[in-house]
Amino acid sequence: MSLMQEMNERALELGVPLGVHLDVTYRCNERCVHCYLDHDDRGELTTVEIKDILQQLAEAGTFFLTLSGGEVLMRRDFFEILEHARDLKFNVRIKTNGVMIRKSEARRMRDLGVEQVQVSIYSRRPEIHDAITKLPGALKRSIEAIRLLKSQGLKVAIANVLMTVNMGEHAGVQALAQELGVVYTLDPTITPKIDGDTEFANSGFGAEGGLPQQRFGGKCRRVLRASAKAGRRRHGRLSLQRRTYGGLHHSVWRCFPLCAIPAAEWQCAAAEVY
Amino acid sequence: MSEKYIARSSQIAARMLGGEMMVMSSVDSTFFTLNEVATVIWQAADGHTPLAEIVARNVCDEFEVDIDIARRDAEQFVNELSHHGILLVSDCPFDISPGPVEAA
Repeated sequence: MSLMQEMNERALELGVPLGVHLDVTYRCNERCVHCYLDHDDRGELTTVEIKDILQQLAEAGTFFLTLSGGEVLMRRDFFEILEHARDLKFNVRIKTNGVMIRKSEARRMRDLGVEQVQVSIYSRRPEIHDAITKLPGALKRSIEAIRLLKSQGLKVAIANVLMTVNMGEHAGVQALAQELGVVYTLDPTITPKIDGDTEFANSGFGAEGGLPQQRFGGKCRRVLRASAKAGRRRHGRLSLQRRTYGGLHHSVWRCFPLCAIPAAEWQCAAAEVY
Repeated sequence: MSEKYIARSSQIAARMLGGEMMVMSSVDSTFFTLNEVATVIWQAADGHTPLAEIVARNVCDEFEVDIDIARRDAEQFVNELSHHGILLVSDCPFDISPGPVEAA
């Protein structure tokens, strides 16, 4: 058993939420066809509320923190939140589309000791990537962001969500990742909508005969099995997802809200879950 | 032991879990867990207190360990963590504040 696995087991025994995924906003500059969020701002958590949550998570023992959205950089206070998270010594990963990352943002992420930045790429062909994100020029800007992040010495991963419309694109995205010198990760998960609607996920975005991943080959099936195993684990104990309006969810993959709670009651709710 | 000062790097993540300190470098992603004694040294690494004083005051007094053994082990521990950029080592006090000790 690796040291990390040992720590995971210990966290499980102690009821410590070792890894937390925090959506800091649902606003986004892209409109991806498969996205599980709506992007209306119905009253996000404030800077103070998010800082309070981070403080409570640190006290609860959370070590791995993923900051996600929406697009995290849509928040003007994102770097204030990130700085606070790093002051609290979280291991921070950021999920972004990269469109708003310029040299200054990349440098700041590096200076703040971000562990990894994950950028979503759907195809290396702009006509496909930009059609999925519904943002003209998105691919070019995302690739430029990856280059900037790499040039600052940051670890970068490309997340490649596969659907019917881009199912044949994974080899190209893998090659792109190799050219850029970044990690490639295949994401076969289509998440149910935030309101619990599973119609889109179950329809597999136009796939015939169920979820798109059911049509994948052997390599993808292995990824799926690993993902499912990890998912069961996350649903069990290890991971919580805190969302921007104050709701608490088991994980990204199980979007049905457990409860909607103000920041001050977060720890009580976490205690109930664990 | 020559005079040596140690400070926690800002390029790390750290958290207490079940009495042990988890530390991970964001530079090379190396991951360590520190036992009780190493955690004490880690928490005392403020950049201003000499390592020898940390060992004498925080280790020997608290854990009733021989000073020579404690010094040797502390040197080894500091060398390993500094090799990964997790601890910063200098022969004079640091100007920078190492920041708050992470939540337990």
